[in-house]
Amino acid sequence: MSDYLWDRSGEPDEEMQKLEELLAPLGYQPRPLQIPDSVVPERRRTLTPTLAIAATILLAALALGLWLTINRKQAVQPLQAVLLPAQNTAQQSPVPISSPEKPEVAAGPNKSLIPVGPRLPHRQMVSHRERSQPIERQATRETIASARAQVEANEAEGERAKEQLMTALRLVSTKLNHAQKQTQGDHFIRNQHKVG
Amino acid sequence: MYEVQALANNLPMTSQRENESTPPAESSREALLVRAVLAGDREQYARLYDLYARMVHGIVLARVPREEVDDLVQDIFLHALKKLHTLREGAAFGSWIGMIARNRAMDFHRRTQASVQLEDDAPAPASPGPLAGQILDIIRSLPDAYRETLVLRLVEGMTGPEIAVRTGMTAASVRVNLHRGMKLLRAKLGFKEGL
Repeated sequence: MSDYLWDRSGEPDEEMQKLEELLAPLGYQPRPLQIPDSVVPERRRTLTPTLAIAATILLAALALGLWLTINRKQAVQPLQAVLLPAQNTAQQSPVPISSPEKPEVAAGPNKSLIPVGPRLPHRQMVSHRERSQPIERQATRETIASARAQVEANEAEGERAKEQLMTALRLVSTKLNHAQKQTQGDHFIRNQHKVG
Repeated sequence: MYEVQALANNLPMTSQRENESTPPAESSREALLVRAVLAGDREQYARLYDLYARMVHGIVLARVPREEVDDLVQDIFLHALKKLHTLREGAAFGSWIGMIARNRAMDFHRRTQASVQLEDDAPAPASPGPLAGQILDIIRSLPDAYRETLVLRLVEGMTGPEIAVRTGMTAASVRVNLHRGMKLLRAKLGFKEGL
């Protein structure tokens, strides 16, 4: 390759020189750039307010998810604790068991909460029931007491979770306010700049 | 802001046809000019225009009819001024505005195709009569990379190193494009009379 083509050094190429002469009039003719007043370079946008808002939304979504999970646990846990023995009892003992001493247990669906052993022939079952009644009552009381304790514990846990959620929401709200102020402050300064 | 302006003002301006031997200094000059423009000094943009108008003219001329080129060049520089804040590295101004010019030339062809479809009965635009116009048409028929480099070299009068610095291409690529493009052009001009 001739150097003339690269940087016009070396021996000039006649054909190339002719081409250059012919094409030169088509080249750029200096002409001043007219910039209208309305054309102004836009300002660089900072990502900080956008990121702050995105982080806040993410935080709020996490808090909501946490709250929903805790609520669901609260709703499901007591039922599991009480109903599982009741299902066994309903399947295994066709005779409903009543206890006059504890009307709150006997009256509702909780009357079938007492755990009963495997199904027996009628005679055996009656005698077994007679023998095991005090034990069953004791077991019922314990079950109810433990269920109550669990419910109370769950309520306390719920309260704690609620407090945590409220704190998180307060934090989120503060951050949102901060981001909003930042954004508004930026516009304010920009407007000032435009006017000035 | 004032420091930047002062530095930009003290930098010596070189002519377009000068041989560029120090690309890093060129890049830093452009970076300073871009920063000054973004800081609000619009006059510095005229200096960027002086540096790059020839290159943009060449890129557009390689793709668009000659009578449209001057307006398109102005349009490209105004668009670039509006969008200057999106340029992350001021030193890359040349390759950035070159890309804008190529995109604008493509847009021009899209618009023209649409309008031609509407006016089926309109007569075809007359091809340039002089020999220069015919040679330019032949250069335009070459592949993209070759025609752009050849127009910058033969029409705009830029040297190979200058093309490399302005467009952001490597010197080796420019050299290859010039060599292959010139070979193709010679082959096509072999059938032409008057040369």
